[in-house]
Amino acid sequence: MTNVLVVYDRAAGRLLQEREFERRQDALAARFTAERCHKNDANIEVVVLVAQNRSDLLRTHARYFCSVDDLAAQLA
Amino acid sequence: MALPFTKSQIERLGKRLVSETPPTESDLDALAQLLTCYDEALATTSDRVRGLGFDPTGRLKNTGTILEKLRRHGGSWLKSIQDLAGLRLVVDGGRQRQDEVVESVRGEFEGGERAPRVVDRRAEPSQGYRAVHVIVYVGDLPVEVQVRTTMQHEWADLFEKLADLVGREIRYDDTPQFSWVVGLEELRAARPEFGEVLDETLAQAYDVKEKIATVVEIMITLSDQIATWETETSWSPEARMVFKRALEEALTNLLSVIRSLPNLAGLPWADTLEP
Repeated sequence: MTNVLVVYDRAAGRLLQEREFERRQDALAARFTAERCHKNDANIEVVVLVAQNRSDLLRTHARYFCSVDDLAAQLA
Repeated sequence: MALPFTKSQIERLGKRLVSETPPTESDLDALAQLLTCYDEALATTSDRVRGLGFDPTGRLKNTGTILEKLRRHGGSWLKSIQDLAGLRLVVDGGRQRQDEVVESVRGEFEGGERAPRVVDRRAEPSQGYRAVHVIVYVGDLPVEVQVRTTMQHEWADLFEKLADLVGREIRYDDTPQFSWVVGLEELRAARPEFGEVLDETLAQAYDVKEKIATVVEIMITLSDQIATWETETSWSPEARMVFKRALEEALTNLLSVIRSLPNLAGLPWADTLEP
């Protein structure tokens, strides 16, 4: 299993940080710390995604990793 | 799975979280403690869904989105949020396969402390969003399992990305009142001496707002087209071509409107008016 901390800038549509953790608890602790750092910026989203592997993450949460053009091309 | 809080403590926590901006450190600690319990429920659900042969991705709702939701529904809503913990499954094979997966997940959790609940958001979509959600329970804690077909998912991912860029209000509201437009209107009313300059800026803001409405309209139409595609069982090769061309045309149109939008974060009024 992979536990990935994602820090994402919504307004810019850009991934700021992607960090993998072996242990789920460590990823969650890192999430809470990162959220405190960005608590005054509503545009920053911090999330931990848990999946079997990275390609599953890319499929289910492509929004964090791909541009509008990429996502539109995928749908077409 | 027992929570370290009573329902009324959670309700009070929710109210405090929205009454203080930003929330206090101790309330954020309490929310983190609550979310940690949901994470255990999420891990259990994920293992059981994986045991059915599926590959879900899990996440806990982030604090910013929880606060956003509490501001919309009221702080007491915290005790009722069904999707603090969520799994997502994207399935190939269209709606028939989607129904099979939903039934499989529902069956796995039937017989638990609380019966699972299926929310079919295909017939009555919200802002074009279509999927089937199964709310399952680990003890008393709900976990939302989103089951999407590939096309429903690709549409939802694109819509969410657009909402990031143009304003998350488009996810809930047919006619969103963007804070930057409302702020400018209030400023215009309060400072008539700057009327000429503000009128020009307001006209620019209205133009942007209209383009965003066009983006939403195109996306909702696309979702309807996808739904038609997914529910029709016998497509002729010609009809397939027509559908594919319509989809490509709508997406080209969408991208052209998006490219005509200014960078909202870079607009001169954005910094001063965003909450």
